[in-house]
Amino acid sequence: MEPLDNQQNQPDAIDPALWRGMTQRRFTRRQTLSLSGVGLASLILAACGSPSASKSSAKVVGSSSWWQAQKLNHVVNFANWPYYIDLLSGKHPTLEHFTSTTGIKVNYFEVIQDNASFYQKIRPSLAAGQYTGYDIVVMTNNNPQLGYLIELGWLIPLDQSMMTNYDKYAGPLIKSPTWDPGNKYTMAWQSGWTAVGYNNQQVKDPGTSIEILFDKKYAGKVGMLSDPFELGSIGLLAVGVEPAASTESDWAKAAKKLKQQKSDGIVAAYYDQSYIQHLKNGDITVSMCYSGDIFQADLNNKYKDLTLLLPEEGAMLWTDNMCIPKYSQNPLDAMTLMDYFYDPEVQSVVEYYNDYICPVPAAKQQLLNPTGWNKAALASMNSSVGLPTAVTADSTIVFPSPERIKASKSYYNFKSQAEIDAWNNMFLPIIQGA
Amino acid sequence: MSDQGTSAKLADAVNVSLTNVTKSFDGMVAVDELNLDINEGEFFSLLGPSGCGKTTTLRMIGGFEEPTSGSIVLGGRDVTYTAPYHRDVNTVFQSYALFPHLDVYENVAFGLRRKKVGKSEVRTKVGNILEIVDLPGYEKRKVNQLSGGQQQRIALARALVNEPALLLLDEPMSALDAKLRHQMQIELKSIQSRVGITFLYVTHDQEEAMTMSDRLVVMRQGRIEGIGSPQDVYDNPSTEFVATFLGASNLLAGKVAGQSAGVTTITLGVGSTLDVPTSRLPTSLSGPDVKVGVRPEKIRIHVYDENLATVGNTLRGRVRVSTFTGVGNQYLVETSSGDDITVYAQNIGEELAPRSGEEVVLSWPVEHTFAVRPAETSISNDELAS
Amino acid sequence: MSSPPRRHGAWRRGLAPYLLSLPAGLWLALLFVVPLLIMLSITLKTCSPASGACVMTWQWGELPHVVNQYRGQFVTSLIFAFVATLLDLVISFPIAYWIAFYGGRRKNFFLIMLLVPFFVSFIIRTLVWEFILSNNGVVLTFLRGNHLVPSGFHVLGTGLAVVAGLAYNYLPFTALPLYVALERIDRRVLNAANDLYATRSVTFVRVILPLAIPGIFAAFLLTFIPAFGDYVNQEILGGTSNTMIGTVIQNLFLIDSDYAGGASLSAVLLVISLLGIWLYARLLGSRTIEDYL
Repeated sequence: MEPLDNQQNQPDAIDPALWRGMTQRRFTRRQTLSLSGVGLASLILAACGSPSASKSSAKVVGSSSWWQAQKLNHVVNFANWPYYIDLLSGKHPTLEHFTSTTGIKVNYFEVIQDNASFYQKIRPSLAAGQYTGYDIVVMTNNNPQLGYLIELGWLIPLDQSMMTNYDKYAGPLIKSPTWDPGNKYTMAWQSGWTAVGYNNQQVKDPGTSIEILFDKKYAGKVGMLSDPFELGSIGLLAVGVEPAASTESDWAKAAKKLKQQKSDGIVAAYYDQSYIQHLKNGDITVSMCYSGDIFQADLNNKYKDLTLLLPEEGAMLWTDNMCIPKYSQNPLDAMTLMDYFYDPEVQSVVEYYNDYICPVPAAKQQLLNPTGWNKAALASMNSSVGLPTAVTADSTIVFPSPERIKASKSYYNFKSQAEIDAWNNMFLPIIQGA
Repeated sequence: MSDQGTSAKLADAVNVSLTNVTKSFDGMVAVDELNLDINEGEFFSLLGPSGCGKTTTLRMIGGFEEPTSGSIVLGGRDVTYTAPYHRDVNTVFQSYALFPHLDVYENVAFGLRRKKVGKSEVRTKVGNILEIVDLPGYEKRKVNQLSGGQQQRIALARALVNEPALLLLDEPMSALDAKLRHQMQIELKSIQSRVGITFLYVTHDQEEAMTMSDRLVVMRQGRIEGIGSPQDVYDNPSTEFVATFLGASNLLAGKVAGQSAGVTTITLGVGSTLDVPTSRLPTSLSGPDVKVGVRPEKIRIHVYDENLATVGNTLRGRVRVSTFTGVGNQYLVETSSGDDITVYAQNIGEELAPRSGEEVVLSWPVEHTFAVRPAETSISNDELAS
Repeated sequence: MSSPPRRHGAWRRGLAPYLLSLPAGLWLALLFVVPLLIMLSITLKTCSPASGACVMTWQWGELPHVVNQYRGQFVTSLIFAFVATLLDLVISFPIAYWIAFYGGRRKNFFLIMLLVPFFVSFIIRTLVWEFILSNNGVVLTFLRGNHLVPSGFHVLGTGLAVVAGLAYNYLPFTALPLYVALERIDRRVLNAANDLYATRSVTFVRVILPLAIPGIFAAFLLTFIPAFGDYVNQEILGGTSNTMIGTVIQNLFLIDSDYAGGASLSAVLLVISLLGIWLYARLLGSRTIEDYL
């Protein structure tokens, strides 16, 4: 008791951080991090202790011995984005087929609206060392959250031995990506471009350049995306810089261009997913867009005028990635399902409904000449999709041509939280203008 | 010359004149062909049970309701359809309706300010009127800090300060307790005589009306049942309703039998007769049926004695109930004709009081007997209770 | 000798009100005071956007920093909320007045008619508003078709659209307190005013308006405070240069994971709201607030 009391009375027992806070004007989060010399991961360690990385070295989570110890539970909980999987009268044919062949029941949840808010939903469970309720989640590479999950050790390394379909059929565009070399943690679900969409009735000479977004001709009719990573990347393309190879000074240049665009009154607003509605309503005539949205809008006769432009400067290629969050209760079932989607027969059915970039090039042949169970599935979906399978198979948006692959640009890979903050400080003020 | 002068003065003397005023709400007639003249400087009461049309009449004079037909003349000017704020009339409302956001001074000064009276004059007048209602120095008080009686005085002051040609008072005492009410009645009457303004007072309390009024009307179902000075209306009620509503009355059904020398004889069922001065017979009798009345305090009661000599009207009966009330005795006597008669005898220590069951003789002078037409619609207890 | 038990009883009686207020007090402490203190403490912490973990670093500078950084958004929010609230007062006063004084027996019916649009979710209503104001929407198509506005005229994305959305969404918060205030005015007091030579307009200015003041102020607060912190209308209806502080806070918390910044801005928002309530209590007394809540 006594020494404790003594210690409490000592003035030097005060948290040194308090002195720092009271004597120095302000630390930005960035300064605090760099001054104290801690990186992203060490801050977490300091804050709440290591989650469980060092426990029981014999069976490290995700090691081959760990995987061998797993058993099938015949159930898997799959969290995905809305309208992102084949659908036929309220059911998902590929999932039905999966259950009938493997006996694994799939609980499919369309709960992901955006990366940041979904990450905030699962983070408390992960931080507390608990099951998030999902065995598979789908995260995009263009936001920091996927990086957070990897860096914090919150993803279970995949069982490489179970990726037979993947090894055989995964396309070069998504195989072993820069954000996850060797596919240690992720397998692509679908990809897409962030590019330019316009209304060809109002825009007669779109040209081939990204400069269309900065053209004063369309002042007040241009939509930009409110995601700072999308906005910044498009800005970088506009100033002629490869986003993946950019530096902070490039970011400043891009930010300057975007600020000018805003102050010239060219931008109508910075939109989230709602840009597509505004494009349809005619509030804007040109906009940053996600490729699949334009393709889907075109399917409706009413919005046939909407056209996708992949600019010569390039379009941002993003990928939504399936991964297994830590503390998953059904990892083996999850692994089975993930590899299942790399079967070209399965992927042909997914893609007939979806309009994003297909991770399995061989699915094109399956769309044109189905060889297995998918024949009946595609036929039954025909009336609800409303177009022949050949349209999907021949779409260069779904199965990109070599030029389009060449025009695809990668996002910048952040190396620290400080870089993320620097990026945000650059681009957020543009979006959140007073 | 002198004739002209008199008639002009008489015309002036009438302050308010209602001619054939009718008011109906959704087909329900509240006031029915009302004709009424109120004189200059009078304390005039509208008395009647709730729903008799007295408040509606007051509201029409105040301008808060428009008559369905008829006309209202105020000080020689037709104001039938004039807005309240253009009438030289002020009102003391039942719940006082003081302005809760203004202090006493501003409440009282409200009307003067609207009339654009000069500042110093306002101050003098408000000060004076607060003296009169006995609340000097209350200027800065908030009205919700005042007691009910004080609020009532402020409401009075607020109306009187404008020196209107006519002051309307809508049951102003109904929120006060009995003791305070009695005190205020006297005070109100004295204020009225001091300021000399015509007061039109609406109440359902017959005692209140009789205490204060110079003249009053008794209203029932939108019509006037009786009009005159309180004593006049009390002693000589014109209808059965007035007789029952105003004080206690003994009313006995009978038939006109004959007349001689200014006296009309009325037979009551089994042989007994009563005399009524012919002048006190209702003028508009449609048949022989009448009700003969006498006030309980006018009757003398004697223990039966064969040799008893009585004058005037006499009835024999038996005491059913005898109650001693201190100031007197109250008896309920069943007459030989089967009617119940209430008798009130003052305790002057004169005679031995008859006891229950005793045979008695009731007698009273003929001039205290009145006769009324039987009411066409029966009088409900509700009407009398209110 | 009999005094000790009596004193004991008195002590217990003295304690009774406190014991009775204990459940409410605990409720308030647990669900309001504690979260509030946590929020305030976060302003002094450094949080990891990745793990969500916060370390106390006593960074007193966060609050002045964000206030300074987002001063413009604060000003925008103040102006928008103020204009929207004024608009609501101007629009709903005649409505509330009419229902209170001329609604007759169907007052409740009219009140429900006033509220029916607000049974629909806030977001849906705002989205519909977006649809109405869109360039190809009914209103602008009509106006352009009749050459009432220039062909390039647009509303969405402007401050006007945000203010219109705010005013629309918060109308009941203004109309209901106003209705309550007007409804409770004693009709006999108005008669009295007429009786004392006040014409209708004078009665309105001298009696109705002063008596409605607490209701007007309550309506102002109840509308202004939520409108000030609103983050939906600007996001859906606004454009590039009219971001409101609520949107900033939402982004800081949910997108940027800058908890210290978000908490600091929330604290400022709270202080501004409390100032308004304090002002109300000082000017009109705290009792009248309850009447409208």
